[in-house]
Amino acid sequence: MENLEKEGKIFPQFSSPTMSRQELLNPAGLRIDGRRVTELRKIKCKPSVLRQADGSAYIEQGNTKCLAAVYGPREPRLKSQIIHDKANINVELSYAPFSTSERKKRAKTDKRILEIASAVKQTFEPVILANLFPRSQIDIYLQILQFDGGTVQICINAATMALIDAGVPMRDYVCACTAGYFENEPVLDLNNTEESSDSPELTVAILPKSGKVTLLQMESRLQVEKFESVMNLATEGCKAIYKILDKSIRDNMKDAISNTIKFYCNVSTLLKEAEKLHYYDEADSESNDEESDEYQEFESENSICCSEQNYQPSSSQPNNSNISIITTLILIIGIFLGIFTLLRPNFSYWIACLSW
Amino acid sequence: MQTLISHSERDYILHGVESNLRADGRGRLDYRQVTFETGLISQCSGSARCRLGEGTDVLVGVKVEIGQIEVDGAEEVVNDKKAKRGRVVCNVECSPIASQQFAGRGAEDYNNELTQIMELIFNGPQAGIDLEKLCIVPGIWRDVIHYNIVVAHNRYHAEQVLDYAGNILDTIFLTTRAALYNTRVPKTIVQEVEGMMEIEVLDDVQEAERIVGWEQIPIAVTLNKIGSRHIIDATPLEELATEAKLLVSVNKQGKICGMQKSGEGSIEPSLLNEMIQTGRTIGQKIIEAFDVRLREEEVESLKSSSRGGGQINIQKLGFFAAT
Repeated sequence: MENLEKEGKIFPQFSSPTMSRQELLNPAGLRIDGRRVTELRKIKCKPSVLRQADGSAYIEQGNTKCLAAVYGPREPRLKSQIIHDKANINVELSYAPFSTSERKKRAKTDKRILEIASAVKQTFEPVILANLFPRSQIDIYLQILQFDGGTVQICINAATMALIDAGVPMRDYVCACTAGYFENEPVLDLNNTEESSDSPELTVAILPKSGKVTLLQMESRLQVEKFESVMNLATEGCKAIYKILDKSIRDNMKDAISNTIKFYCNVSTLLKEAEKLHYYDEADSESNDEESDEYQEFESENSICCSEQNYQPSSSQPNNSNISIITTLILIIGIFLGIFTLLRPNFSYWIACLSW
Repeated sequence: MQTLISHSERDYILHGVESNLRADGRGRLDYRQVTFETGLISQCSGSARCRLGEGTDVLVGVKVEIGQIEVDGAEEVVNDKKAKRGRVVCNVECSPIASQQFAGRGAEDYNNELTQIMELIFNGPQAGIDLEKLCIVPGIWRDVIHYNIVVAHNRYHAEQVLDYAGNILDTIFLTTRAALYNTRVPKTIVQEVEGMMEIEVLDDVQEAERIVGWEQIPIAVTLNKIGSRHIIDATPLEELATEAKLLVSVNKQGKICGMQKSGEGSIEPSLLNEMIQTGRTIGQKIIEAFDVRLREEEVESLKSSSRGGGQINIQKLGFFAAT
């Protein structure tokens, strides 16, 4: 079955696993998974996948899968985490035990995991408008379901989508991408095998519209002359990822809006049906007036999906409308008198004389 | 942050249950709709994801690995048996994605509790899995008790709870059943080379076998006692209003494979009997319906793969399915 086509082999415990020195780039210019040097892995993403969370997103980059959930802004759980003038951003990352080819349960307090979580937090701190929510907390929970290289980049991309889905105000998207350098060529979007080899690896996160860099990580050696080309390649990769994420979010928004409009149309048709059954009694006829205006507005704007019948306001209104005109006139006169009294204190004296 | 329930809500639920009408319109013994999918994670030997209603979401990954048989030097007879079997190790993790209360270290106790319940039910003959088939080389005793050079398959499940809306345990068991149905154990060949055992694991996907005895795997039904009646498949509010919970684990034949009572209240013996019987009947019905759909799903996925020409990956919906 397809689900057993995996890269790692199962090794018996008493013979050491043999690491074959694979060619990362074959002479034809193709990498191990058949990509070219400047090709991103296939990205599939979807926002709003969870019901409980304020915002959520699921993203797949090649074989790496990540699920992100955002809760907030809300009251901080620990009093010690309250910051008086902005929101506290809390990031928690966890790997599922079945995410790697060897089953390994990693504790939540594993140093490497904490480091990645801290990097993600620092990436988002300047981007989220945290000073709009003082004394509150924004939680970002990330779960890696399958791992094939590029943890930091996929966490940042997933967190961006989840934050947008949650409606947390941000200055711009944050898109991240990795790049490396082997066989004298800069290479985009490394997978696990390429990362574990000796080649340098650079992770970059940028704000696509301005091109500003919010995260830059490199833990290996790279010559300074080559750095610029690798950096440029990674930036291009980020911009490509930005387009994909943006499209996915807009498509999801369109679906959500059209569903909402259909819902309201259904509600308005139901209310009309109820009205025909004289569901409202005479005492509420004034309020009826306002609602009927709203229905007519709705119908004119959304003529595509709303029903055919025209709504006729009921004709038993004349007495009520006369009374309402008189009361509004009296109110207006009263208000004018009041204003004059305030502006010209002598005027009150005149009114008092007149009344006598 | 603990979720709270007010007295009026509790009363509302109590009276509703007595009149056989719950907040979402279900009767006392109605289950929510179960949606599942298998084979989502390519790096696992088997995986499944199951969603109950629109809430509770559980993802299970099963990994088959070779491990050593651990013999703890007790009596010879017991060790003999142990030496011929594989092992099942379970691990449950509630992620903070599911609920705010699981963030940080809040989930630790709950994870341990759930893991213990699973281990209780899955390790042992009642689990139905033929553990002896998982054994590669039975125990060879060099010296009397302690020495061992034996190897066996271990199986690890890891359950991830992704979304919480009540009734986690039932969902976990259902998902595990689906994942174990989906799991394939790779074939191994044992060769004796110069006195040393060499084990070769065949990577051939076609040769991998299904786990023997998967149909006997039990599922769990959680019954909640509210007032003097019991309900199944509770939502979070209903769970807060329960006095006592009974977990009944039942297999295809209707045999009970495990039971656990939790909660602060107590259950009268007559009600207890009734609850067990209800758990049994409902459990059996669920297993039947679930198995039918499991087989259908596998047939469909095989069809789509053969249509695609074998090499192409099946496009599993996974999280991309409409919520």
